[in-house]
Amino acid sequence: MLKQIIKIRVKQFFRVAAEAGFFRAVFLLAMICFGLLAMFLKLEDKSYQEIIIVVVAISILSIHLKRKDREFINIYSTKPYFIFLTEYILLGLPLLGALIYYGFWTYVLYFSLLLALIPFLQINTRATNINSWFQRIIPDNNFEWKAGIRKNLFLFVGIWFLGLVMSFIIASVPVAIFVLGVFVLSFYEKPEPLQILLVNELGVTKFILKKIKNHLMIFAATTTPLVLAFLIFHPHYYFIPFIEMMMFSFLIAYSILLKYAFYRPENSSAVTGIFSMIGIISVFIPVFFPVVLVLSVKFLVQATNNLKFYLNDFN
Amino acid sequence: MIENLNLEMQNNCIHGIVGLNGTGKTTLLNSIYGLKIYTKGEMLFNNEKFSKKLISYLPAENYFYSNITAREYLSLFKNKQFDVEKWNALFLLPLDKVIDNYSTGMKKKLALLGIHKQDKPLLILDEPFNGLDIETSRIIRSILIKLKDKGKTVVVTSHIIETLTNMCDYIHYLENGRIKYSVGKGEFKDFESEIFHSIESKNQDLINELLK
Repeated sequence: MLKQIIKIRVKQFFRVAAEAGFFRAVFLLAMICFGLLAMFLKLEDKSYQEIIIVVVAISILSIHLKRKDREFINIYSTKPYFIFLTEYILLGLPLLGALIYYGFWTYVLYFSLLLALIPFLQINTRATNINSWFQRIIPDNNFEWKAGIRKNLFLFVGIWFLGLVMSFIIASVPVAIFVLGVFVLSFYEKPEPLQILLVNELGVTKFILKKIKNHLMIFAATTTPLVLAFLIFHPHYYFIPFIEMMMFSFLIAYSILLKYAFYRPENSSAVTGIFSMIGIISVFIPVFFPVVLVLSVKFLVQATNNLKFYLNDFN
Repeated sequence: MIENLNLEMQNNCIHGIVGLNGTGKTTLLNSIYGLKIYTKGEMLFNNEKFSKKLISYLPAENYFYSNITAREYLSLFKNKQFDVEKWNALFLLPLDKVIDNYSTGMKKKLALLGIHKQDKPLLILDEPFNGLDIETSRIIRSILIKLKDKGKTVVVTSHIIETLTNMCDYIHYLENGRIKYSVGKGEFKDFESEIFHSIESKNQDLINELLK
């Protein structure tokens, strides 16, 4: 079974590459290599070591919890744990290799233990039915926010309140905006069904503009109280939350354009996931930000052409 | 693949499209709705090209956005006259629960509520009775007949002829991507027995051989 699963993964990899097209696939590969190289170099810096290990472990954990084939593998394989573990070791191999290269043996042990523990976690990710006041004040059209916040309500609201209450500490608001921003970027990963796309009966340009405008407004409404609290206590550093807000606003527009550039009703594109990751990485590694700028222009053109097929009747 | 298809449908009627699996029913509906590009010919509605502005389309499989409730889904469709609570009295859906936890039948009912809320002149319903219980099927039938009386045109597919014969004004039989024939209400009985006879006689020899 392990052999079969690895074969399927290799086929899936080539399918994603084919979907992306040759040049995009090469570009993505280059980006991944660059990201790995950056991670490798940052590992030398002591202050980054634990952060990198935690980020990689959380990424693998979220893959484990979100994967749709978990039940399939549990039912049809005699050794499901072994299959999960092998896959996660392969995913964690670049980090494991780097830790071994630097001789950080304690971290090698910690990270290996985390990888060994993840397949044991069988949390049921059944959708929650929370209906808070927060979802009710979100406009109907911002369904991505309604869904995203329902999924992470306590974390989202908790971080927001913590940022606000602790705003007398200089780092609290920037960190809160940062975490909330990363959360928000994940709201745009899934395409909506066609019925929802058509609901506004707008032509392509109007649709894209309205969508971006609505989402930037709701992001601004969420973060403005935090920024104001920051300005009360640290007026000299006013530019920090503003730059952050601008950066995340731009990334939200990028994520929306990306979603519609590859939009197919009810069909998540693996390519979208990789480009979305580049957007999130650009928050950590600023070198990627100009790349995201260029990609946004490209995705605007691509989204316009792609949506014409679905929205041409409303022009 | 659909080829040489020639079909005329009268307005303010319920039209059933029948055919075996893979004969092109969904392809035909997708072409009408503009989700499939046809290379030759044209499709007109009231002498104008079909437009999504005029059509509500219920696909055979219903997908919803994850982690939103049924009420949130329905609120996306703008129609102030539509009373969600009153309509839901027919289907008894838990509107404040997330759709992800709905059963197949509940999802179908919700999709149908969405279709009704859109209030368009042409309704295209692909296998609307799949996964529904007897009571809901009868309710849908009554709603569709009422909508026809209010001037709507309904196109509905099914691979179960009985669900169509007691509701449609016309039935169009699709075979190998072509309309083999269309029949009106008065001819449904003959049509039904002819179809059943042809299917049974086509396979009888093989069944006899397999089970001898």
